[in-house]
Amino acid sequence: MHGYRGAGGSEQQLDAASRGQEPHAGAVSRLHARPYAVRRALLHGPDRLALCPVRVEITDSAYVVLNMALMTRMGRPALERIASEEVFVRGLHSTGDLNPARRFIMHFPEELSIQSFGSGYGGNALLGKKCHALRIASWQARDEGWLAEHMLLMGLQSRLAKCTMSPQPSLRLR
Amino acid sequence: MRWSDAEYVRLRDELAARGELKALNQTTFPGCYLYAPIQTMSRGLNT
Repeated sequence: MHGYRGAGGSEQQLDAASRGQEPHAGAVSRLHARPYAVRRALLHGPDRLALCPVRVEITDSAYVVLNMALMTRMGRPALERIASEEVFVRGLHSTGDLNPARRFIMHFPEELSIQSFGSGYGGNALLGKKCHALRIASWQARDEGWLAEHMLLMGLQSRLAKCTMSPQPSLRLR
Repeated sequence: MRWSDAEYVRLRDELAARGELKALNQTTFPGCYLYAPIQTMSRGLNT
Protein backbone atom coordinates (compact mmCIF):
# COMPACT_ATOMS: atom_id res chain seq x y z
CA MET A 1 0.00 0.00 0.00
CA HIS A 2 1.50 3.32 -1.05
CA GLY A 3 0.64 6.58 0.65
CA TYR A 4 1.73 10.17 0.32
CA ARG A 5 4.50 9.84 2.87
CA GLY A 6 5.45 6.24 2.58
CA ALA A 7 4.48 2.71 1.87
CA GLY A 8 3.39 -0.23 3.87
CA GLY A 9 4.30 -3.77 3.07
CA SER A 10 3.57 -7.25 4.18
CA GLU A 11 5.83 -8.82 6.73
CA GLN A 12 7.20 -11.06 3.99
CA GLN A 13 8.08 -8.08 1.78
CA LEU A 14 9.77 -6.21 4.58
CA ASP A 15 11.57 -9.30 5.71
CA ALA A 16 12.86 -9.95 2.18
CA ALA A 17 14.02 -6.35 1.83
CA SER A 18 15.87 -6.44 5.10
CA ARG A 19 17.45 -9.84 4.56
CA GLY A 20 19.27 -9.01 1.35
CA GLN A 21 16.84 -9.77 -1.46
CA GLU A 22 16.38 -6.13 -2.44
CA PRO A 23 18.87 -3.69 -4.03
CA HIS A 24 19.49 -1.76 -0.84
CA ALA A 25 20.90 -4.83 0.84
CA GLY A 26 24.38 -3.72 -0.20
CA ALA A 27 24.08 -0.97 2.35
CA VAL A 28 24.16 -3.55 5.11
CA SER A 29 27.41 -5.03 3.82
CA ARG A 30 29.04 -1.62 3.63
CA LEU A 31 27.91 -0.88 7.15
CA HIS A 32 30.14 -3.59 8.51
CA ALA A 33 33.02 -2.77 6.17
CA ARG A 34 33.27 0.92 6.91
CA PRO A 35 35.46 2.00 9.79
CA TYR A 36 32.91 4.22 11.49
CA ALA A 37 30.29 1.63 12.28
CA VAL A 38 29.40 2.51 15.83
CA ARG A 39 27.26 0.65 18.31
CA ARG A 40 25.95 2.58 21.29
CA ALA A 41 23.38 2.01 23.96
CA LEU A 42 21.44 5.14 24.76
CA LEU A 43 18.84 6.48 27.13
CA HIS A 44 16.34 9.15 26.19
CA GLY A 45 16.03 10.60 29.67
CA PRO A 46 17.15 10.20 33.26
CA ASP A 47 18.22 6.62 33.89
CA ARG A 48 15.97 6.21 36.93
CA LEU A 49 12.84 7.32 35.08
CA ALA A 50 10.58 4.37 34.32
CA LEU A 51 9.26 5.92 31.12
CA CYS A 52 12.75 6.61 29.81
CA PRO A 53 13.14 4.26 26.85
CA VAL A 54 16.37 2.44 26.07
CA ARG A 55 17.75 1.88 22.59
CA VAL A 56 20.80 0.48 20.87
CA GLU A 57 21.72 2.00 17.54
CA ILE A 58 24.26 0.76 15.04
CA THR A 59 25.25 3.32 12.43
CA ASP A 60 27.99 3.90 9.89
CA SER A 61 27.90 7.66 10.44
CA ALA A 62 30.16 9.26 13.03
CA TYR A 63 28.09 12.42 12.71
CA VAL A 64 25.03 10.51 13.86
CA VAL A 65 26.98 9.37 16.91
CA LEU A 66 27.93 12.95 17.78
CA ASN A 67 24.32 14.08 17.53
CA MET A 68 22.99 11.19 19.58
CA ALA A 69 25.59 11.99 22.23
CA LEU A 70 24.06 15.46 22.50
CA MET A 71 20.51 14.20 22.80
CA THR A 72 20.80 11.08 24.93
CA ARG A 73 22.67 9.50 27.79
CA MET A 74 25.08 6.99 26.32
CA GLY A 75 26.95 4.17 27.91
CA ARG A 76 26.78 2.30 31.19
CA PRO A 77 23.43 3.59 32.56
CA ALA A 78 21.72 2.41 29.39
CA LEU A 79 23.48 -0.95 29.46
CA GLU A 80 22.45 -1.45 33.08
CA ARG A 81 18.83 -0.79 32.17
CA ILE A 82 19.03 -3.33 29.38
CA ALA A 83 20.57 -5.87 31.72
CA SER A 84 17.84 -5.42 34.32
CA GLU A 85 14.80 -5.06 32.07
CA GLU A 86 15.85 -6.92 28.93
CA VAL A 87 13.62 -4.63 26.86
CA PHE A 88 15.10 -2.14 24.42
CA VAL A 89 14.59 -0.84 20.91
CA ARG A 90 17.05 -2.01 18.25
CA GLY A 91 18.09 0.51 15.60
CA LEU A 92 20.17 -0.15 12.48
CA HIS A 93 21.16 2.76 10.21
CA SER A 94 23.31 3.14 7.12
CA THR A 95 23.53 6.21 4.90
CA GLY A 96 24.29 3.95 1.92
CA ASP A 97 24.54 5.80 -1.39
CA LEU A 98 21.61 8.15 -0.68
CA ASN A 99 19.75 6.90 -3.72
CA PRO A 100 16.02 7.53 -3.13
CA ALA A 101 15.22 4.37 -5.08
CA ARG A 102 17.11 2.37 -2.48
CA ARG A 103 15.87 4.23 0.59
CA PHE A 104 14.15 2.06 3.15
CA ILE A 105 12.95 3.35 6.52
CA MET A 106 11.36 0.33 8.14
CA HIS A 107 9.66 -0.02 11.48
CA PHE A 108 8.93 -3.33 13.17
CA PRO A 109 6.90 -2.42 16.25
CA GLU A 110 6.24 -6.02 17.25
CA GLU A 111 10.00 -6.56 17.48
CA LEU A 112 10.75 -3.04 18.77
CA SER A 113 13.22 -2.59 15.95
CA ILE A 114 14.01 -0.01 13.26
CA GLN A 115 16.03 -0.36 10.07
CA SER A 116 16.98 2.73 8.07
CA PHE A 117 18.98 2.65 4.84
CA GLY A 118 19.86 5.30 2.27
CA SER A 119 19.16 8.50 4.17
CA GLY A 120 21.18 10.97 6.21
CA TYR A 121 18.17 13.07 7.13
CA GLY A 122 17.88 13.52 10.87
CA GLY A 123 14.52 11.86 11.22
CA ASN A 124 15.79 8.82 9.35
CA ALA A 125 19.28 8.67 10.82
CA LEU A 126 18.89 9.75 14.44
CA LEU A 127 16.57 6.88 15.16
CA GLY A 128 15.56 8.15 18.57
CA LYS A 129 13.57 10.99 17.04
CA LYS A 130 10.70 10.21 14.70
CA CYS A 131 11.38 6.50 14.32
CA HIS A 132 11.49 5.65 18.00
CA ALA A 133 10.02 8.56 20.01
CA LEU A 134 7.04 8.94 17.70
CA ARG A 135 6.34 5.74 15.79
CA ILE A 136 7.63 2.86 17.91
CA ALA A 137 6.67 4.73 21.09
CA SER A 138 3.11 5.17 19.83
CA TRP A 139 2.86 1.40 19.57
CA GLN A 140 4.34 0.93 23.03
CA ALA A 141 2.07 3.62 24.47
CA ARG A 142 -1.04 1.97 23.11
CA ASP A 143 -0.08 -1.33 24.69
CA GLU A 144 1.02 0.16 28.00
CA GLY A 145 -1.66 2.83 28.45
CA TRP A 146 0.20 6.08 28.00
CA LEU A 147 0.45 8.69 25.26
CA ALA A 148 3.41 9.34 22.98
CA GLU A 149 3.70 12.86 21.59
CA HIS A 150 6.33 14.35 19.31
CA MET A 151 7.31 17.98 19.86
CA LEU A 152 9.84 20.56 18.71
CA LEU A 153 11.31 22.94 21.27
CA MET A 154 11.26 26.36 19.62
CA GLY A 155 12.49 28.49 22.48
CA LEU A 156 12.71 29.00 26.20
CA GLN A 157 11.01 31.78 28.12
CA SER A 158 12.22 32.94 31.49
CA ARG A 159 10.06 34.35 34.27
CA LEU A 160 11.05 37.79 32.99
CA ALA A 161 9.37 36.91 29.70
CA LYS A 162 12.61 37.05 27.76
CA CYS A 163 12.43 34.48 25.00
CA THR A 164 15.57 32.77 23.76
CA MET A 165 15.26 30.87 20.51
CA SER A 166 17.01 27.57 20.21
CA PRO A 167 19.86 27.57 17.66
CA GLN A 168 18.90 25.69 14.51
CA PRO A 169 21.16 26.79 11.60
CA SER A 170 24.26 25.01 12.79
CA LEU A 171 25.29 22.22 15.05
CA ARG A 172 26.53 23.40 18.40
CA LEU A 173 28.89 20.85 19.88
CA ARG A 174 30.14 21.05 23.40
CA MET B 1 32.22 1.67 28.65
CA ARG B 2 30.72 5.06 29.54
CA TRP B 3 30.65 7.61 26.73
CA SER B 4 33.30 10.09 27.82
CA ASP B 5 33.95 13.71 26.95
CA ALA B 6 37.36 12.68 25.66
CA GLU B 7 35.81 10.18 23.27
CA TYR B 8 33.35 12.80 22.12
CA VAL B 9 36.04 15.41 21.49
CA ARG B 10 38.20 12.86 19.66
CA LEU B 11 35.38 12.00 17.28
CA ARG B 12 34.43 15.65 16.74
CA ASP B 13 38.03 16.62 15.99
CA GLU B 14 38.38 13.66 13.65
CA LEU B 15 35.40 14.81 11.60
CA ALA B 16 36.72 18.38 11.57
CA ALA B 17 40.15 17.20 10.41
CA ARG B 18 38.76 15.43 7.37
CA GLY B 19 36.41 18.32 6.54
CA GLU B 20 33.15 16.67 7.43
CA LEU B 21 32.64 19.30 10.12
CA LYS B 22 33.57 22.92 9.44
CA ALA B 23 34.14 25.14 12.45
CA LEU B 24 32.39 28.51 12.43
CA ASN B 25 34.05 31.59 13.88
CA GLN B 26 34.78 30.25 17.34
CA THR B 27 34.86 33.74 18.82
CA THR B 28 31.37 34.57 17.62
CA PHE B 29 29.94 31.05 17.66
CA PRO B 30 31.94 28.99 20.15
CA GLY B 31 31.46 25.27 19.76
CA CYS B 32 29.46 25.64 16.53
CA TYR B 33 30.10 23.61 13.38
CA LEU B 34 28.53 23.09 9.99
CA TYR B 35 28.07 19.58 8.70
CA ALA B 36 29.48 19.09 5.20
CA PRO B 37 29.36 15.46 4.10
CA ILE B 38 31.31 16.10 0.89
CA GLN B 39 31.94 12.54 -0.25
CA THR B 40 28.52 11.30 0.71
CA MET B 41 26.76 14.14 -1.11
CA SER B 42 28.71 13.61 -4.30
CA ARG B 43 27.92 9.90 -4.22
CA GLY B 44 24.25 10.73 -3.88
CA LEU B 45 24.27 13.15 -6.80
CA ASN B 46 26.01 10.68 -9.06
CA THR B 47 23.42 7.97 -8.65
